[in-house]
Amino acid sequence: VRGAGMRMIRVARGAPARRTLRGSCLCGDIAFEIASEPARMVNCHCTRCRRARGAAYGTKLLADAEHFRWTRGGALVGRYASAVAPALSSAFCRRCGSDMPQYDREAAAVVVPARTLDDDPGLRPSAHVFVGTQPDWLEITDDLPLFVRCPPLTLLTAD
Amino acid sequence: MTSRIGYRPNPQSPFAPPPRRDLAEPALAQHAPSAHQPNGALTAQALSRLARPLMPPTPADVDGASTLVGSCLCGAVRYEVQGPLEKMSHCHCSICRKHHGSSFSTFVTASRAGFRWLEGASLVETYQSSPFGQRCFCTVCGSVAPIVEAGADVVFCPAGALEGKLGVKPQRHLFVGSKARWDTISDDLPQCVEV
Repeated sequence: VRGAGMRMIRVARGAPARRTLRGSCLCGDIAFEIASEPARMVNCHCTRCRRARGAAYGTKLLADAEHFRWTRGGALVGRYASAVAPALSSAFCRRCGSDMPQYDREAAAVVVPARTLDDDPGLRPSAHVFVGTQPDWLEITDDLPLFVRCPPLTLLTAD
Repeated sequence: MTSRIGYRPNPQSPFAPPPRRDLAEPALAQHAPSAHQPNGALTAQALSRLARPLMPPTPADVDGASTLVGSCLCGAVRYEVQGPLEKMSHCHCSICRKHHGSSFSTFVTASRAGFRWLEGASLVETYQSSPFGQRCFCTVCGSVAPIVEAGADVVFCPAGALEGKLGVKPQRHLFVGSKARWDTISDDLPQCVEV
């Protein structure tokens, strides 16, 4: 009992303030949460993001996989793994088709589609990555830096 | 190593502290060609030289092609639409944002008469996302598929899934009234609160 008390005091005094971000799919069958501040957010122009989501680009939040967990319907997540390119894998809700976080227990990071979040992540995209293959109808009009690949996260600013 | 407050650093984590600058910089300089800015980003000049270098040309890359082909990520679902395409819009509604996971979706409108499934029509699942609308997706890879509603004159195709030059550019932002508070629109296209 005494040890538990000590631990509580340590958490209260020493741990950084944490905010839990929650997200869910369109139909609500699947929900997840990220229990720490996410690292970075990027606008991704890769073929996978464009082809899979049909959108101009994907806005992705990169978070530490250790702090990610499914809170509802984790078994309902459909996964597709490409035989030719592991990077072209995807995760989605099998009922409504929403894009879902690509979470792998073995991986260090989880890639979360930013707009499946229900809370403001308090973070804005810091770069466009994988530019060069974007369609002719898309013009990048903001001032964010452009990268042909995804640079080391430490080179990206946090907001 | 576990610190006094129980925090265990993970060197594989993207949150691991950055390497010391004096160690990182020579390596960075070695790999950074002059087309890059100091932080590794492309210069505007270098970007202008990048003309679709990673994608082989498709028949639709020829300007004025009348038939455009679209497919999902895994290739199980394929379809074609007849050009010329007229309407292309960015949609910021909450359903699009959830379904696409992005700040906005981009749809082109094509005539129903010119639309044809080439492969995998039976693999497309439909979800009734509202009393008025539905969302379609490939059940193998989860990619967004065209919305083909019974009795409608038009189909809505996700623009990013169509290959080649579409011959049309985005014309407006729709449902800006329900866009995420934390999204900003940086172009000059007209913005509609709803449709």
